[in-house]
Amino acid sequence: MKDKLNYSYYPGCSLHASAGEYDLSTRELFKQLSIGLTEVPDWFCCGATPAHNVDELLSLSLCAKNLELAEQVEGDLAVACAACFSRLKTTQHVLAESDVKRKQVEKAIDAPLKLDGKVKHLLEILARDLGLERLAASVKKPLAGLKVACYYGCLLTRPPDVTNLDCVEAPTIMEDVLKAVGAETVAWSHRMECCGANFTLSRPGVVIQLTNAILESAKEAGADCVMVACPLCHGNLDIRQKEIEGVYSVNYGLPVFYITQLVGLACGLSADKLGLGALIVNPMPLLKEKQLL
Amino acid sequence: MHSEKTKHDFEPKIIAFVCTWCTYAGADLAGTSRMQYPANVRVLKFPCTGRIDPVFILKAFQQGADGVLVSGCHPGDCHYIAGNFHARRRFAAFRKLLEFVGVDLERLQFSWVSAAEGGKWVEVVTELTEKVRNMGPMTEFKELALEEQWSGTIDTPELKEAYNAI
Amino acid sequence: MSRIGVFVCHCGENISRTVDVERVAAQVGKMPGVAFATDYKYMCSDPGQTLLKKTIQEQKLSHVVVAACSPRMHEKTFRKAVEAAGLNPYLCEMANIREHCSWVHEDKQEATAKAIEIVGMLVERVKKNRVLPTITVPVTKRSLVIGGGIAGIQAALDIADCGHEVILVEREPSIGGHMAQLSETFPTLDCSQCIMTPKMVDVANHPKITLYSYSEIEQVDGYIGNFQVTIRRKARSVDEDKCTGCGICMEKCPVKKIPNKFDCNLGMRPAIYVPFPQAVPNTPVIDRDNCIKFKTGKCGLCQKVCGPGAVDYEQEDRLVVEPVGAIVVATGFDLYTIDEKPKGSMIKGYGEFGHGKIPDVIDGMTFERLASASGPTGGKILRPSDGKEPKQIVFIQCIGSRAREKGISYCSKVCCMYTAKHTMLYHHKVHDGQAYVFFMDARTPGKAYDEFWRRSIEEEEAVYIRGMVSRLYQKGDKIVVMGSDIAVGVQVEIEADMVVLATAIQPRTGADSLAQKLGISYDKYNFYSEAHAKLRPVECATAGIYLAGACQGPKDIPDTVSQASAAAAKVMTLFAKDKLEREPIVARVKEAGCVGCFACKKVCAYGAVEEKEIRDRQGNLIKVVAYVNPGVCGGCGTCQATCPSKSVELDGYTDEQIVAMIEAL
Repeated sequence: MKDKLNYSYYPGCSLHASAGEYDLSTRELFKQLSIGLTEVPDWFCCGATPAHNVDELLSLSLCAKNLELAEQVEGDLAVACAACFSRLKTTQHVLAESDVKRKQVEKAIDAPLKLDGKVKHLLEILARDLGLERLAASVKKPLAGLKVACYYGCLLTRPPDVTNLDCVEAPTIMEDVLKAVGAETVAWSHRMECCGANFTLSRPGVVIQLTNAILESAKEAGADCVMVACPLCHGNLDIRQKEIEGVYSVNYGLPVFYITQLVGLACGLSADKLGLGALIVNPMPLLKEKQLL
Repeated sequence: MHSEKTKHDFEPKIIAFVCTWCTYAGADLAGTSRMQYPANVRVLKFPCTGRIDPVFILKAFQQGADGVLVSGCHPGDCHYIAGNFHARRRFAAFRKLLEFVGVDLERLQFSWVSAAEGGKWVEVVTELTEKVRNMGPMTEFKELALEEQWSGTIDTPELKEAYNAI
Repeated sequence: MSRIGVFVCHCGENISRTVDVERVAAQVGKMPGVAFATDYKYMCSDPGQTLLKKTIQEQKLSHVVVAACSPRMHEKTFRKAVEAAGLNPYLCEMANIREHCSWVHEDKQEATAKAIEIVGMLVERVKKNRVLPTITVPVTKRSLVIGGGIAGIQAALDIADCGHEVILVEREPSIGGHMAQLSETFPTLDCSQCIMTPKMVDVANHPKITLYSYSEIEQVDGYIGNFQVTIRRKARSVDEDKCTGCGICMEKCPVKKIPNKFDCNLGMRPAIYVPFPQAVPNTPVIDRDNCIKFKTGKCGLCQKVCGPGAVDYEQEDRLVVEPVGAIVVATGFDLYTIDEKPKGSMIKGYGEFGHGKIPDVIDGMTFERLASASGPTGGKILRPSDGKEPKQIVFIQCIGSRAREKGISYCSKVCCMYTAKHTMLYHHKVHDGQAYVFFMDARTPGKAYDEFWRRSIEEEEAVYIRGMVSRLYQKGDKIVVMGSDIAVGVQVEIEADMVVLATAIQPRTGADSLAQKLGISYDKYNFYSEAHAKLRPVECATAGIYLAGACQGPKDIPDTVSQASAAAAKVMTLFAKDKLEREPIVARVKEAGCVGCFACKKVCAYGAVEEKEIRDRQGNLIKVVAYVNPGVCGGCGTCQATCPSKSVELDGYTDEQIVAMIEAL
């Protein structure tokens, strides 16, 4: 057994708002797995996802300042949100490549940058740092019989040389984690398609169309539920699901879980601690049917 | 067309050891393209950089060269399959040695110039000439060479002992 | 004391404009050892050369320096002239005072001073030049051709027709290669087998061609004109001399359901088989991994039914050694596959296309087998999954090719044309079907090629969509193709029944290990490297080895055949002489100093260094020293710079010569 794992933690704005259950389940799961998690003091918005379309220097500076704050806490930086992950990694990548931009940003945030801290998505921590074996050993209640469609969305693996998370077009890291906790994963076509993310506010029509294709494909593949690792994807797939069902006159009824909720469930955490009650598509009937509650 | 030529107090001697297939041909191309570069360089043609013995570099410095250029085919382009790789490895080690004996490595330059890179040849030669001119004459090795033209007297007891043992 | 003659050329005004040639001649004339120095308007002209020859004889010159242009320009000219005057040609050197001096400097004083120094260096060098004899090596007038595809067949036939023996080695049980698999060929749509099989038969019947099928190259020794090639003849389990090719063994073989590689695994074959009916030689081979006799010891049916008694379960691999003078490498290509590649591999697969797990997503070669009249479906276009005729078919070009993110940046050159052909074949066979093609660019440079491509659109109604495909997935019994049409700027989604991928041409797996046996170089993809991209496109840098076909780079059939005939012509040029002459710039070992460490052997890229035993008169071994085979030596001199005891010397570039030049500074 290696020494205790310790991370600094950047929850991101969504996890303090609409995705409170992601934050809650993350903290509870890490506690359960004895992984240290210290919230970055005084962190603020990373700018995802509009800032980089409007002002590159601003978007880089927002992330750079957060990275600088994170350096004050011991351990690699754990990130839960795929969009924050993407922005923070992009910032590291861009500033490592360009001295000019780095100097501009250092001036903007009025601090020198080290940029040598690692930014890790929760998935990487579970699958690689903790490791699938140790994860499997922590399972108290395997998710037997639960058929999960793992949804990656677009930002976790793309662009590959920035995120460097897994194979860009055919990743398996989510499936690996879920199999380790005893669930069944389905093979489906839309794991990597975009859900529309924050167009949910400005162009809901686009989002409804894109998200419908995702839900339809998951349902066709025989999934009981969908698992995500991003609050934006979650918002579109979960909160919008009822509306989509109305628009397309279909009935999906697919609960959408955060990865930490499903893994937490397998590790024996209660529904309350995982914030399962906060999900819009009620997961309780499914979980009861599968005898997981 | 004659541009005003600046007179310098010191004109360095540069010796270039080049392979015939790439860099020599590149230098030829600079000629056929009528490019201009300082007249300080003297070119020695080898079949391949692989033939260039590090001793030649030492010899060049001893003979009064102020700068030495070694140039051959780009990695992978060697006419003799891999001679330039052997050369690269050899000179990587040799540089360390030169540094150890106190030669300023700025005086020794390695480069890859292909038969198509007349312009690069001009650049490399011009840059090295300017650099070495600013560094001034290379005296250490000449002095050393003179010292080593020794009288033949064996002046330490250890050497004497060794001599007698032969 | 040497009597050196120095001839300074004006080169019209090319040199004399910036170099005071008379001053150069005057100054150099004073140098020790120089017996004669003059300047002349055009040294390379006929009167110039006559002056040179006359002076050598009149002045009894021992060495010559011509100060003129680059030796790359006229060294041969002047060495010939010197030879004609009775001197050894290697006692003549050129001082380059044009490309390296007059053309690159403007200041006359400076240029003249430099010219004097350059000539001085060459004067000192030439003093140390030695008489070098021309080296001759004998030529074995037999040729080896590796690979029995169209390239190897063409080269073998051309060489053999010229009257020289050819050993043709093919790895598979039959010759024919990829061309034998094709249905019809662009841009004429003639049937590939119809034009290919007669050539295969010609090979079999040619008295000058020895065909070793089901054989591989084990080892290559020797050098140009004198190679020794060891060939592994893999155990066929059928005696080629006894077998009549009646085929009864194949009929009786109880194992029937082995996917046939020749049919891209769509058709089935027995355990004793010929890959296709027109195979040459028409001798079956036993696939020992699938044969019941070899797996369990039972069965033996084929042996029982074989009239001539040709089936031999005891047969073992045999090694044969063939002496040859030249080698043509024509090993062809493999097709890129979209499946998952090992971690860390330079080449990546297509996860977005399901890594090859969707059954009705096939490659172009599989489509060829479907379209072929002798193929597994008898020429009907049918889906592998359910045997239905696809009504909507999507062709995607540039799969792997020009895809830097997948690790291949080159263009495979033939896909645009064969995809156009596929759309035609499809339209001819499925009249109510619709073909779509996703493409980046249509590259159709070739005689009657663009016309052919246009025809696929204008007459055969293929819909070409400029853009790439981002994802393929199975939806029910359809394959959803998500792509973009960049000409219109919209996303396109097509529900196809079948998808055909124009996958990249790659060198054969194992091309690198064959190259290492042959001592030839290859690029990062493992394509074999020609000696010069433009002027020596069929020769390897290693003398006596020539390239033909796709092993050197992607090529279509006409280009392959041209290159094969060119390689054959090179072989015949070599064979036109009984002995080979070569420049005597080779390394020589000074045996007295050699300690036999063989550091030289390690760095020699040509394998020219051999071990030589030195014995006394009683035959006792004194020591083992290095010996450089002058026929093999490339003349790079890396051995000399490496030798710790300075016991090997490159003629023409000895330490003495080089140090003399350095000391002249």
